[in-house]
Amino acid sequence: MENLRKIWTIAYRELYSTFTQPSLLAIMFAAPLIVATIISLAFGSGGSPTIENIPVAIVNLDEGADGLNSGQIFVNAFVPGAAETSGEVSQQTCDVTVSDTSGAQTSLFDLTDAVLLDDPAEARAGVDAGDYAAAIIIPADFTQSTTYSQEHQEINPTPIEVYGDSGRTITPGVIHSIVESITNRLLTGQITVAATIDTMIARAQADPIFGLQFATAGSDFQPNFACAFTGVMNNIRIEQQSIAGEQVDFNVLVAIGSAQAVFFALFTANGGATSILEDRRNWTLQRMIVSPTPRVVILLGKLVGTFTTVLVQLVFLFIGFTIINSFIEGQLTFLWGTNWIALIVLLLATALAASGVGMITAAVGKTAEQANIIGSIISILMGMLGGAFFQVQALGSFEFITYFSIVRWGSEAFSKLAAGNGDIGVNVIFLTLIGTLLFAISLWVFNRRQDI
Amino acid sequence: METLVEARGLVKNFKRKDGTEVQAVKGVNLDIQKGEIFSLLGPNGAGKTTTISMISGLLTPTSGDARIGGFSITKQPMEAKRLMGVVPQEIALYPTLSARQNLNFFGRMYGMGGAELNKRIDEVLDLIDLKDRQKDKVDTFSGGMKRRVNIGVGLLHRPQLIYMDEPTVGIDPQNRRRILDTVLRLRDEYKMTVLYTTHLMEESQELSDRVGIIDHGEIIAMGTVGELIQQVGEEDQLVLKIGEQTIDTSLIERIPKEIQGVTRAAFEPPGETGDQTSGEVIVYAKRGRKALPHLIQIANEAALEIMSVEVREPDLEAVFLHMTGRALRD
Ligand SMILES: Nc1ncnc2c1ncn2[C@@H]1O[C@H](COP(=O)(O)OP(=O)(O)OP(=O)(O)O)[C@@H](O)[C@H]1O
Ligand SMILES: [Mg+2]
Repeated sequence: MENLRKIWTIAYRELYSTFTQPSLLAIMFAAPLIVATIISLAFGSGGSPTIENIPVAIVNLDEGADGLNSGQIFVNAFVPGAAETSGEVSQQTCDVTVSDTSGAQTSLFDLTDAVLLDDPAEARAGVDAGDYAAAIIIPADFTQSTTYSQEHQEINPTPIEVYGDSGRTITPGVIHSIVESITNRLLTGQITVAATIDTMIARAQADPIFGLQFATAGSDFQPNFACAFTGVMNNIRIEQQSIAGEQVDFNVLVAIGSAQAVFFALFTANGGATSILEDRRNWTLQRMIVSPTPRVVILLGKLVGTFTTVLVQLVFLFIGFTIINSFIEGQLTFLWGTNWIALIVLLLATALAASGVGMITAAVGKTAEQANIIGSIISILMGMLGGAFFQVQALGSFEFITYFSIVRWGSEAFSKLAAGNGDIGVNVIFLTLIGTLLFAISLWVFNRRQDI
Repeated sequence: METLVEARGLVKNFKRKDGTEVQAVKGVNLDIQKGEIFSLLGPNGAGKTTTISMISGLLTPTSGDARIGGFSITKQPMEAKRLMGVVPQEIALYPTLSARQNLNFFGRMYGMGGAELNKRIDEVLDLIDLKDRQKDKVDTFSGGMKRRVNIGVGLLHRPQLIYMDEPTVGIDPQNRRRILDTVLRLRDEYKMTVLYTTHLMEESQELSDRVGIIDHGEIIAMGTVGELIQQVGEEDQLVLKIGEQTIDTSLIERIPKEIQGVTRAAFEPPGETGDQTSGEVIVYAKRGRKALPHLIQIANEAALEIMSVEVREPDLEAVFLHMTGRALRD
């Protein structure tokens, strides 16, 4: 009990000193908002971001059936000019329009930047390397499984594989739902045609003249599936994953803002933790040590103080970004989603991880100045690596190195929440573990230190 | 008499930057009795702070241990620390907090709180005479005021024992006087036990019930001021300043023969030591004041003009000089 009170006393002193220092507050709160907004405005397109050119690989393994290749329909829909080079006479280019729940419309050709590949393994590897957001792999028996005939009356399509990049928050989801949409249209078309053929066959049986005509038409009778999408049907509506969601993901303010927030949180944590070395310099640490206060209590007090400061800072920054974004968009939008519990848990985990990083520099540093320099270098490296200054996707196949930075772990999860994706468990666990581990190491080092 | 602090064989080795070791404290034994002012007197670098750091639980001794009220500082540090207040040599305060906030913070580190702490802070502010400046930030204070707050923090939890490490360093005579008076009050009014370190012989001599003289990490003498002086003999020094005049050696030789109680006499011409601008006749006598009239008479007969006369009673300075062959001051 007494020790708990002491922890709070130490933490409170820390908070008091921090929050009565105007210059520090400016760095903690104003700087990240300003920097992130400037970077976002420089990179982004302000309030109405458009997404374009999601990199997609498409592999058509479909062997077709009866001279028909349904898989090619997907290729045509995604790859401009594919129809002309496919050699399939029945095919034609179709420009599919994608619209989201908000009504925004985009041409599928603009939305994606699709490449036709032959090898599914190559396509998946490309996704793993970050070259593509998703790979669409059309199975060999796709046409077969969707063809309606008298022998094959049940349409039970072999699913098309959409292999997504787990590192991207929702682009694979968008591709997935587009593929699903097109498949549905295709099946609808097939059934309509099949029903028509059934009707014709029935009529031919009843009407010999028509039957004769029908039979002599022979191979000329080829239903044209190339654009099963004409007129109204040419417009795909995506319900599950809105493009607006994707736009938020590409809202630079989310990506840069969350990374900047975590980046500045590292600085704050570092400053908070190195206050223990300032305490050493002005002998207040020694005074605490000669009082009946165990060292672990002193360090916990510092941790709680640092943690709380960082948490307050993060909350403030995320509210700040929401306000800035709402101004840009002209209406109140919850930039970070509305999964409040996930958001709170993530904020706590991020603050803990940042505090842990700060603690370790304080535990090994000789002086406050030295620890601040080490801490700044670590913060800047993590910030650069973690996407505080550019979008991590720009690193392509080297994107994995960004996971050395807790800035990446944090901002990735915040971006997911912003996109309405609550799948942040791994990030939260990682951040919590790293924070706890670093604190445990600092405690061990600090307890063994003799040069107090 | 009850022993409150009992240190045995305290040794502290430090690693220097170049990797070599220095032994800052070389096996110190201390017994501080309840209710006394014990001073540790020694020049800069003697090991006073290092010793205090070990017996307050700030530094782990390389070897040896100390018991505070029966509790081992290395094995039962929390119990031992509760008994003591510490006034470090450095100003150990948060500069951006006010005097009151500092007292409040450290009071809580001793487990105090609430109305009791507030009342105690008022008492301490009274004692250190800073009630009117209590709300001001410490970094706006003068050196003397900071020193007083520094002492106040050590007194907050009403410890029965207080360590004060050179609490008068670098302050003006007025503030120094105030602090010395406070230290005496702590013993006399509050029945506290005080361990006081200093490199100033006068302070030690004025305050202490007992003194330990420390040099190069070793206690070289310990006892009451009187006992220590007795160790070097009880002779007074009579110093006659005679300016630029020269003096016959036969006259110097006459002095111990003719004046009763004088053991020896010497002449130091001007410029011999330090910044001395006047020649000095130095006469050692068991009871200096008694020998003085006769001495002046002899000087008059020899037509010596005496500029000033000084009687120096034996002091700790002399003890230190006697034991180490060096002056305490440098
Ligand atoms: N952390 C340290 N590392 C290395 N040497 C040290 C350290 N602390 C003290 N010393 C050395 O130990 C010796 C004793 O120092 P200490 O501070 O105890 O002396 P002191 O008697 O308090 O002197 P002062 O009157 O100047 O305060 C000195 O030679 C000092 O240089
Ligand atoms: Mg000292």
